[in-house]
Amino acid sequence: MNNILLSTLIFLPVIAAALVLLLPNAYKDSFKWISILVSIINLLNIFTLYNTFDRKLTSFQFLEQYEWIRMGLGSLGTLSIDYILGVDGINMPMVLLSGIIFLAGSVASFTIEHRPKAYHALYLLLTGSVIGCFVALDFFLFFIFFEFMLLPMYFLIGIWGGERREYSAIKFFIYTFVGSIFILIVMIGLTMSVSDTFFSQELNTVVHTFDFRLLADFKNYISGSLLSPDNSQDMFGIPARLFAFILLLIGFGIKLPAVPLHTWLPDAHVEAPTPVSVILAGILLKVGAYGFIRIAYGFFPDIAFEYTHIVAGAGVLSIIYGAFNALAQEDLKKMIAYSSVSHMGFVLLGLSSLTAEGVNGAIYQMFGHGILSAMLFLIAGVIYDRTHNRLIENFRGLSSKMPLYTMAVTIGFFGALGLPSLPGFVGEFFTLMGGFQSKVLPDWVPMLATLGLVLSAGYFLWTLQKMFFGKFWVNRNHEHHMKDLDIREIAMLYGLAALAVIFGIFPNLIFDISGETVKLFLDKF
Amino acid sequence: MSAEQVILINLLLYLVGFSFLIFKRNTLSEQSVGFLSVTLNVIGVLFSMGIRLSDIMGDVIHYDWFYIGDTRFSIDIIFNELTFLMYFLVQFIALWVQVFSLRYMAGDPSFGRYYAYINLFILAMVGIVVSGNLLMIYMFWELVGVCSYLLIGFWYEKQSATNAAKKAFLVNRVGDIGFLVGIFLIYRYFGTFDIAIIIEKARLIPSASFNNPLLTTIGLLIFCGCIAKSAQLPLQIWLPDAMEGPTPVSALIHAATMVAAGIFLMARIFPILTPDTLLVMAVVGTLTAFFGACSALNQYDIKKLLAYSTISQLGLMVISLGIGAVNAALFHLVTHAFFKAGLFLSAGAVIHYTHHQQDMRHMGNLRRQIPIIFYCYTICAAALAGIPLFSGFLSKDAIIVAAFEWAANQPSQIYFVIPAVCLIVSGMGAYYMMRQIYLVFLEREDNPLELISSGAVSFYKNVAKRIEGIVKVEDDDNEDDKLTVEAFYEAISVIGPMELAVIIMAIGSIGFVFSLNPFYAESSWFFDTFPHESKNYHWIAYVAILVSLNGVLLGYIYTKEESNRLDKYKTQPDGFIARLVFRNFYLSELYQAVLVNPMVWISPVLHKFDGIIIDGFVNLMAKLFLNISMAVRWIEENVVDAAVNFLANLTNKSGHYTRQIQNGKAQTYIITIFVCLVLIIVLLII
Repeated sequence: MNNILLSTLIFLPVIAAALVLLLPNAYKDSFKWISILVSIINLLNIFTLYNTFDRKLTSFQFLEQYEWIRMGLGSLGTLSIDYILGVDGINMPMVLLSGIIFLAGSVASFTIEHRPKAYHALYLLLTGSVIGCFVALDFFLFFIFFEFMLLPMYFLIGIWGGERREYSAIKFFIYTFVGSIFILIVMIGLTMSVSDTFFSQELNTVVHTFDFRLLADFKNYISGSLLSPDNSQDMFGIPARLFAFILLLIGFGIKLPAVPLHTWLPDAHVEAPTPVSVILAGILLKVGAYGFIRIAYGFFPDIAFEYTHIVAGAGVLSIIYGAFNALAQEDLKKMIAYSSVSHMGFVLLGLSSLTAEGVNGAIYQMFGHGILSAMLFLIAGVIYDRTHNRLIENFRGLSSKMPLYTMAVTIGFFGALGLPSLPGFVGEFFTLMGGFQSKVLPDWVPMLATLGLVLSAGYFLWTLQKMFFGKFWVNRNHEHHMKDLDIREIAMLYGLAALAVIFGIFPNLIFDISGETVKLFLDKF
Repeated sequence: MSAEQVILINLLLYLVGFSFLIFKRNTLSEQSVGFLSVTLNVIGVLFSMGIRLSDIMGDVIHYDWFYIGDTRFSIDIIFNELTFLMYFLVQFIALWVQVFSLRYMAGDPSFGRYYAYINLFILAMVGIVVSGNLLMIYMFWELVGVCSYLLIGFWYEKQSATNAAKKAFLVNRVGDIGFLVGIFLIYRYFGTFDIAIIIEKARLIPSASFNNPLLTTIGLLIFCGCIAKSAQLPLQIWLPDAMEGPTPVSALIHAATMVAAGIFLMARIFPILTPDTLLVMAVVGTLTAFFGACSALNQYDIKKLLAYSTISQLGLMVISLGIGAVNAALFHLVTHAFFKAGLFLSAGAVIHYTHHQQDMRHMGNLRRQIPIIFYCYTICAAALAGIPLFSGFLSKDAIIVAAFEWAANQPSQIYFVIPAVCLIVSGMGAYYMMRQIYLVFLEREDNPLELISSGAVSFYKNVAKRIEGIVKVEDDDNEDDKLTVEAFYEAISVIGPMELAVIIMAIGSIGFVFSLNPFYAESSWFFDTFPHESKNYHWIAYVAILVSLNGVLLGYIYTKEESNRLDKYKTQPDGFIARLVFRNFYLSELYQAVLVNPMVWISPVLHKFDGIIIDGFVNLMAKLFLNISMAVRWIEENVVDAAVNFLANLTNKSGHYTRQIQNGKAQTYIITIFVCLVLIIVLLII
């Protein structure tokens, strides 16, 4: 069982998606249950994975490797594309997060009434491709999953979204697509520069490979090739490896998103239906951060070491700029979207510090922000479901009528603004600590980032005060709609809150997993 | 069971208390909430006393928490005299605050929520006290901030309360950032968060290089945390507003929990503070003590006056730390905890009995109505004023003497400003306490007697009758002991929780509790465990007494005169200076204008920038591509396709014309052949 566990995670949802499509519309009430069931099975499988994951190993575990495509390129050698899956300390937390977020999202999808068949098929397809993206260890396979995520996302926003859904969906699609073109360029460049030495000898030709493990090792680069570390070839006046690194920064920076490549995010979030927002903030942004760690830093350690301050700068800029923008928002969902930009900046800061604290902190921050942002978007969904309105100024004194909701909001907000014992604190503390410990970053960089802590307290408390305190009042006579959470919402919000508390008090649940891998990762720098 | 395990269990108890109460807040009755919460607190107090008796000291315990790479992050619990002192103090004061609240908060719809927050508050504060490493201290430190947010904004329907809560949290956040950066730099410098190891390493630094800029920076950064939490200049602005919360919460914040945290932190890490840091602390403390006392002079609000007096007293403690008299600072922290809790609880009782009147101008003559409160209040006020026989005298005296001694050892005379300010502040303290007693309790010409609630009147009559009965029983020698004990319990039961708490605090403010010789601080038991020595300047104590008595006298005379011309409905006093002092030098307004407003202003600007420039660029690109494609479409239609169509037309047309040749007439064919022949010949010739 263990040797096909990862494939199961990917293909169970895909098969279920096919099942949903095949079932006649008469069974439309069962679609959401299929989604939930698949998410639960996936989470249970991931739980097995998490438990049996060997924390001491630095190599990839649960490895699945099959030959997929072998293509002769004439004089250029042979192209080898494999189906390789595996987890290590960097993507294991992300797989765990996917399991949690997709379950929360499928529960949140319960209220989707419009074309449930298409919705749930797309949702399940998305589940498979996101998990596939995290566990793929072949660049080609990774890229396929990476691209494949776009398709269901595009339709999920474009069909089930709000008023400006077409604009947002197309913006999201084109933005990300431009990013993936950059990644594609680098992928081809890398592949052509790397040979699989073992197979090359066996087949007596140069075998170009997409294997992550081989791409990460300088030994496998063909001397003198375009992206080889010993190559001094220039592209557009800058060294080819630096050029490739910049392309990756832009490609994954769009996905992350890093300022100034972020403007698709607020639009997509505002228009997306609640469960899609949850997936988007909870897990899709992490694909960008994962790409930063695994690909940009993992394959270009020499360039990354030299130019890490650019990444740190983008991180700090995102933190502060995102926070200021969040402060200015009148729409609750947009405020949360910009706070996401701000909090993802800490991931960049931690990674760019190139210290154990910083990188582990960045991985933790990805996980913690996933849980908390999912919670925050569910929170925004609660009032939108009731009033079809999200403007902060339209609500006042909700805490007297909706105490359960208010408590969840308080936990979510305080978690996001960095209250100890909740995940936001651990992530921010260790990324900042990494920044101060770092030998490559000047002190003022993390110092500037601490400003984000004050600002985030500002906008969260401000919102809390405006919407939840004072005398109860809702604009346009919606008062009677403001019922407290129902059992489904309680399960989602408090389930995530409980997870937040558990992971906040026991950060070792993540650090134990990432620790050894990060140690190996940092040896390269 | 070791002391550390006891402490962990104790922390867990409060956690259980908090979780249980927050989940059951709407279903449990007031009695069971109060019983549960007070019982937990009593267990805590018993634990802390039990640990003291069991004589396990000087241990640091480590539990593994998590690892990052090879770096261990542990849960450390440090247990020494300082831990014990605060551990006991926090829980003891909190206990009586809880008892007081049983009556004060009775009938509040959120009774359960209130007690849940109080449990969390105690948990956070005890957590700070027992933490053995800076990471843990910081975590509990933040938790204290959140608890203060929840409790100050407890009545969340009041706009002013939620504003005050937000302000307290944000101002504290600003200070915490400094603290946080300080922690990071400590880690870089010492390689650990463990306080015991840090202090050990600091001791090993040769004294010549001890006063280095990095260590000074670290000290100052950590002091930022203290500035915010212990309400020092320039971040003291949150404390006067914090009185928007329920009054017992103010007692808790001002006495034993929040503001004490800053002083405690500096005492905890004292060995790593460099002389430069200490000097800055002394100066900040001096300014705070003075300006705080100034603002306390002419307040109208009973709680605001006490809030400014807290700021001033905290300033004294920081001075004491700055001049190196750590234990004198701690002593003042302890005595202050008792008398300030007593004052706030008494103020709470006054507010409770006067239908939530807080304006002292509308009070007066309460001495007759609520005598127990009056006497307790006077005792606590006397302690604050530094009157001999009361606790505040001992601790204040120790600080002032130490300050004089310190100044004498400094290179310049200018350092005597600091002890002089201590003396002046002490006199001002006597003045404003006298003013408050006069306005609230003593007979005045205009005496709004009807203010006092009829419940309170009958309650006090009842108490008087019962006490009379007990006294009679005690007089009767024929009765045996048992009866008097029963009568004593009965007396307590009629006194009621509010009065009981106030009485306990007042007893704690009497000098004999701390020293058998109430004129001489050094003979107190406190300095047995926390050594503090002063050799000279004992005569200063007498000067201090004179200054305090003077303050009381002036306070009486001026307030008597003031009360005659008091305008009861004015929002602030006349005159520029008076107004400046009354509004705490407009610091809040200044920050609002200089720091908050620009932030609030810049964020929409940045958002506009985001929408117009960055997103505008994106949309521009989109439009550009759209326009290019329109142009391409035009070219496609008018050039490329046109060319194709032209060719097609050409073929078509040429076909049309050539078709006419093949019309089946022999003549045409002959003419064509002829023409072609001619053409061929012509071509051949050419």
